[in-house]
Amino acid sequence: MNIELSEEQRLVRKMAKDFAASEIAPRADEIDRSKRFPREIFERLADLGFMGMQIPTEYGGAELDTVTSALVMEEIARASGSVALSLAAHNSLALGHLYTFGSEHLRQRYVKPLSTGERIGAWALTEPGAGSDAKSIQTTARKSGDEWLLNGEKFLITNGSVADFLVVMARTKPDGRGTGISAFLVEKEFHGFEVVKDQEKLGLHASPTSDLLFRECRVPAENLVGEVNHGHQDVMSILDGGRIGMAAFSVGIAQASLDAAISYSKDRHQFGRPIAEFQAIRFMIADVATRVEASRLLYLKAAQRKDLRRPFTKEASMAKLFASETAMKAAWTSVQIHGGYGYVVDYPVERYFRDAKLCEIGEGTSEIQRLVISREILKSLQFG
Amino acid sequence: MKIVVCVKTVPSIEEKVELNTEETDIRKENLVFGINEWDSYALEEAVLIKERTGGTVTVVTLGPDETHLERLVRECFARGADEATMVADPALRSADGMATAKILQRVIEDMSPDLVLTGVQSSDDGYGQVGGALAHMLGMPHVSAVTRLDLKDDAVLAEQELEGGLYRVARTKIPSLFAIQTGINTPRYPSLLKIRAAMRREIKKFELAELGISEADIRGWSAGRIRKIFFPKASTELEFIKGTPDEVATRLSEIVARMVL
Repeated sequence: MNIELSEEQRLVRKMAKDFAASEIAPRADEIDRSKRFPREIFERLADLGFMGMQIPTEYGGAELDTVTSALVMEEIARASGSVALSLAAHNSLALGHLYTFGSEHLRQRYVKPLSTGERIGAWALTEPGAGSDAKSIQTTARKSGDEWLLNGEKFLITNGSVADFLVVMARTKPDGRGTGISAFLVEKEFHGFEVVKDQEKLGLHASPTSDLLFRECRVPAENLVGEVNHGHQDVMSILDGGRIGMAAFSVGIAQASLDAAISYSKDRHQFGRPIAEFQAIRFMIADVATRVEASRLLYLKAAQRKDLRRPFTKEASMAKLFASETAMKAAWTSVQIHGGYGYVVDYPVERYFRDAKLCEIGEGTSEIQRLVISREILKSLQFG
Repeated sequence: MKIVVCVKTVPSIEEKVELNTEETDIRKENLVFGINEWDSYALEEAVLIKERTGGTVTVVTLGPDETHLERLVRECFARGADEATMVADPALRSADGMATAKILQRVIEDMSPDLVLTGVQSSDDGYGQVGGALAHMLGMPHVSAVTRLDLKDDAVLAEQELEGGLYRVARTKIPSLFAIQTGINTPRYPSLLKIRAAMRREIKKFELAELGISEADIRGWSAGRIRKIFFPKASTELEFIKGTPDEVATRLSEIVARMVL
């Protein structure tokens, strides 16, 4: 089995790493503290082609495979969780959904400005009453002449307040569950669309998480993304791919936490020697480093299967589950190794600790991942 | 405008280095290699000149490890180089700055370049010889530690960094060689599309024999031989050497000779 990266994958990763370390990491604390969406960083990311990583070049993208774009995601997250999260929501959710299921008209009109980074995308599924239970969304879309009229509210939408174009899921069969969902491309200027507010949250402060309101929001008929009433299946397929990105995102935060722990434990002297010489510290680092490596291999395997067009639902969920719990473990350990210094904002590990928790929640909680994995493994046993 | 840039791949030394068993070099198996910092500024300067005046940028590199060289060249393509020639041969392990310049001369003289750019020095060996030696061998004027280049027709104004915060401006004519100082520009990050295109470009590859060069030639061209490499011992001794430059140099060589032997 070959688990070596290709030369192209190596070079892309190196460039992403160099860019993230020099241009993003030095600003990561400032943008987190000021809770500011860093447009200037996204303009640079756009120039380099990171805003349309997997989109074909004819639509303005870089046409990377899943493995390579996941490697990029890891390196960006290692520098700033906020930047990586907004980049993931734009790339793998909004743009991924629009390109994969959108008509040629939608691709021409919206995919290109998104993949060149002139416009920013968001993907609006979650509602106050519909998180893990995505089939229960209450936002409705009803046809009226040449338009769809959307009504309802969306909750915790990454990039919601900064996005120009949003892929919005709404119920098109009023009394159904699951089968009656469709997706729509909404421009922020559309009449009846409103950003209610950005949520205050634990971490990832430079990536806006917004509540949105749709009141008789008028969407042209041709802005239906995919087929009517096929939205739920499309959403599930987008989430499968998104989980590879979230796993890579988690590994980035875990690696940053580990890097900080290693560096601090070599510099910090107590009892007359570097704390890295104490077995208690060494073993913590060994455990985290092992989990980080395993997490990386899991996401690479899931990404490789996706690139080979083989089923990857189980692998993506396994990678996301293990990597997100590794991120939390790594951040926890790094704060612990830093002791008091880990609890104050002078060191970045308190940020990693706050950012890591999202890994276990976003794009499917750990519990949902376990549900998906067990369902895939126990398929033959017909149950709930 | 035909611009040749000499680039070198060097190990990035973030961790503590280890010596090989013969104590003639550091162990390089597990080190990460990348473009020499000075050379990345030289390449960027060449690409900026090409973007203003038109022409081509050709990178030339040599070294013992073909994989490292090819990675370096692909990165140079992604950063804007148009053509590349590399000489990969295990015998180049022992080439010093003088031998390197000699081989570069063989490769470059047939290209008839208008400009040759090198870095001031490399971050590993740090001889700082290649620019000056190569200029001499190619019969070109040479300015080192260049912090600004202005071209007008076939005249070149080169601002040079001196010691003590001084700068001076030298005027040369094409063809000339310039050893580029860091900070002259801001090397760009290549876009994903440029990286992808870089993978498909052709590289001209040579072994030493194809250039009519033998291992004995390399030994002959090298100005010195590495006898020993070592970590300086922490010491409480301190000696201020006074005298004329010759006296200081004599005393210094005695001390170094004693440390090596």
